[in-house]
Amino acid sequence: MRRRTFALATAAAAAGLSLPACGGTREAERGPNDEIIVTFWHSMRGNNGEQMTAFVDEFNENQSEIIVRESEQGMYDEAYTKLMQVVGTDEAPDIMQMGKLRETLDARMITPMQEFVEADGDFDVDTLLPAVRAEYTVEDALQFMPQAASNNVIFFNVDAFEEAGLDPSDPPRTYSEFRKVAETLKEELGMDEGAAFLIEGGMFSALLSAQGEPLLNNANGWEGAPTAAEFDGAAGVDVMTWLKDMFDAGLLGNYGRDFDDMRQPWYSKKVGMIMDTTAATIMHEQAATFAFDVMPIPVPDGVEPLTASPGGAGLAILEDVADETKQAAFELVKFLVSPEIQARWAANTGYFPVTDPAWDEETLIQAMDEIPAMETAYTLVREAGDSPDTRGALSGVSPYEYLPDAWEAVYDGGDPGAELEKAAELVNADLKKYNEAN
Amino acid sequence: MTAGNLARVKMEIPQARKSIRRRRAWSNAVSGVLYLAPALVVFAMFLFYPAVKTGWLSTFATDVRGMPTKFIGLDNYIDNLSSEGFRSSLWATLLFTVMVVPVTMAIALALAILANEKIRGIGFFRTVYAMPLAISSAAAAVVWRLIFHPSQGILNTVLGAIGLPTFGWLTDPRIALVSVAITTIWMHIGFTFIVLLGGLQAVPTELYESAAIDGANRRRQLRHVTLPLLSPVLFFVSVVLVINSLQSFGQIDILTGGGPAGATNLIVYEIYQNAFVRNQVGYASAETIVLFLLIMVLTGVQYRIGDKKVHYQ
Repeated sequence: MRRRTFALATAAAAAGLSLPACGGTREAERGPNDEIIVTFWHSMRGNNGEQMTAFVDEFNENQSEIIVRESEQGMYDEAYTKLMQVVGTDEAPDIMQMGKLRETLDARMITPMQEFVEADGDFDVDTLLPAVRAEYTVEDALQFMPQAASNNVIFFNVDAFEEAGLDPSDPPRTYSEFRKVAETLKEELGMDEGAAFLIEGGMFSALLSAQGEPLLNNANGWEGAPTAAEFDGAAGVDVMTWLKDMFDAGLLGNYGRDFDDMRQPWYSKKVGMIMDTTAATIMHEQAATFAFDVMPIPVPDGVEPLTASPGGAGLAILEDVADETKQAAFELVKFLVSPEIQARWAANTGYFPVTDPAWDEETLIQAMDEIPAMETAYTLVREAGDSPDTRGALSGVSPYEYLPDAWEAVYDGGDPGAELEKAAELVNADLKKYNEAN
Repeated sequence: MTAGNLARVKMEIPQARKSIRRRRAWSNAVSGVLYLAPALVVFAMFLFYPAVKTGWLSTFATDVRGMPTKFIGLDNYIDNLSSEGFRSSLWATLLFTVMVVPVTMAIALALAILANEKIRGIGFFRTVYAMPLAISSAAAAVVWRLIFHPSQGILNTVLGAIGLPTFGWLTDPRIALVSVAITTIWMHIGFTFIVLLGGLQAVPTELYESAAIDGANRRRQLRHVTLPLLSPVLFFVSVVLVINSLQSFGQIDILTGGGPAGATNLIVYEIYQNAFVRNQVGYASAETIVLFLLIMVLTGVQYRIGDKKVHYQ
């Protein structure tokens, strides 16, 4: 008797082990009234998360054929890590907010958005802002739908500027001007530091992008798979040297790698300027007790300033999903990028509106009127257009992993050129491995 | 008895009885295996199979999905043993372990000895000292991150208020590992304290009484009665702490993310980054095997030394 139980248990366990290997054709998951169920993963937290949930609820209430189940799965990288564990199984989402374009294409994990747009005919891709559209267009096809598009900018305390005798309507544009402003803020107001930059790959990338300099070769990966890093060139070394000099002079604070740790001192007026994402605009509006505005990222003296390319994430529909479910997911996409929703989304978060018609919506016009930082930031992006020079890296290997280490080593007394070169070698080795394996 | 004698004794066993014995041994073995089967199945599923798979994966290059695409033999091992990142990660891990294990044991032992006293309200202190055990590493790390914040944290606020220099606890590469070690020590104290207290309570009071009669003061009692009798527990705790420190992950992820400048990029975090962030599953598997061997050797050494020093009653 007992033996048989053991045998059964063993057999069951063995069967369990081989289960995940089975696949099969996919069928749409259905709700109680035959609605198609769409699983949606996103990375929106705090205020932005509440907004996202509210919009999905609105979508669910406004029609009866589709039920979208949204869930927050951690920040972009965490969510992507989770996806990689479940991709190809029933646990995987049908649609997801993500940023890793090259990897998902190489893994053939997604269905290009272009296919749905063309089959549907309702949505006009030409209404997309050129800069965001370009970020997600590979081989002439739109791959992700831009949705949570944001930009790295400098937020500054307008009250502090006025108090220190600086003109907030004429913020610094060059490295030397920026440094001088930081000095004034520190001296006049006794701030801990004039400015704080987050130690993060995306921030360093934005500092290069604002000058039209790439991180990787082959035009940042847009003219073929990148094979080597370029951030260790003269432009990168200049950026790092400027950061180091400011840090050594006590003008630039180091608050580590976490956004929240850098925002706190700004809210409590211990620093006057922070480099941050526009996605935090409403968060700042709620937390800051002073008037604030946005300025573009500064560039070295004598370099023509550009607008750093947008970041954030787009919506991707996964490949390994039933056709009906894909269609249903695309309905959600259309809803989320419709002018009204985009305008409300932009007005309530700080992600800028990705389509042109959204700019005419009253909600957005009003919000930009009330929050100067929002208007400044959105206008910057809208006016920037698409420039291949400022586009973010299209690569299966992210240099973002190694840049913070180099940055911190430089603050610790390392030589900017040598530390960037070290990081570049690591990136090059990863690129070689990636290109061999994929 | 010589070997010849043994052989003769065996030869004298009648054939029939021998086969009965053999059959009995066989059926014993079968039922033994069956009793073990549930554990074996679970181990096979969650330990042996992943371990073998890790070893297998470590000889491949892997694509974005973590699937093996190309057999490359020992290249991953050669790569990671020759990579500066991996070596500095190993070094940081050893340094970290050396900081964490003795300090945790010393503090927990001191607390356990205090809490072993029979005074009023001792239950309260025992609970308080054991508390870190009940707090998840993530929650603890978040609290410590607030404490360590450069300008808003209580640590720098207090240091600044009394005129002492402040530090970038988590942002200065020279200090960050110490800060993470402090957090880890705090996290491990609860568990270590409880196990040591249990060990102390198992020491028979007669021994203290007879030591006292022999004229031993408290310090001598500690040195000659408590510590020797506690040594098996101390040994157990040290093995567990070493393994736990080598496998630290949660607090690193939350406090520093491996930074600044790789100063706290301990080995498990390095493996996590390679496997799940950089999607280099093959390379990460090779690192895992190296870590496994390292833990095995260290634990082996600990047992070697332990056997000689530990006093079993």
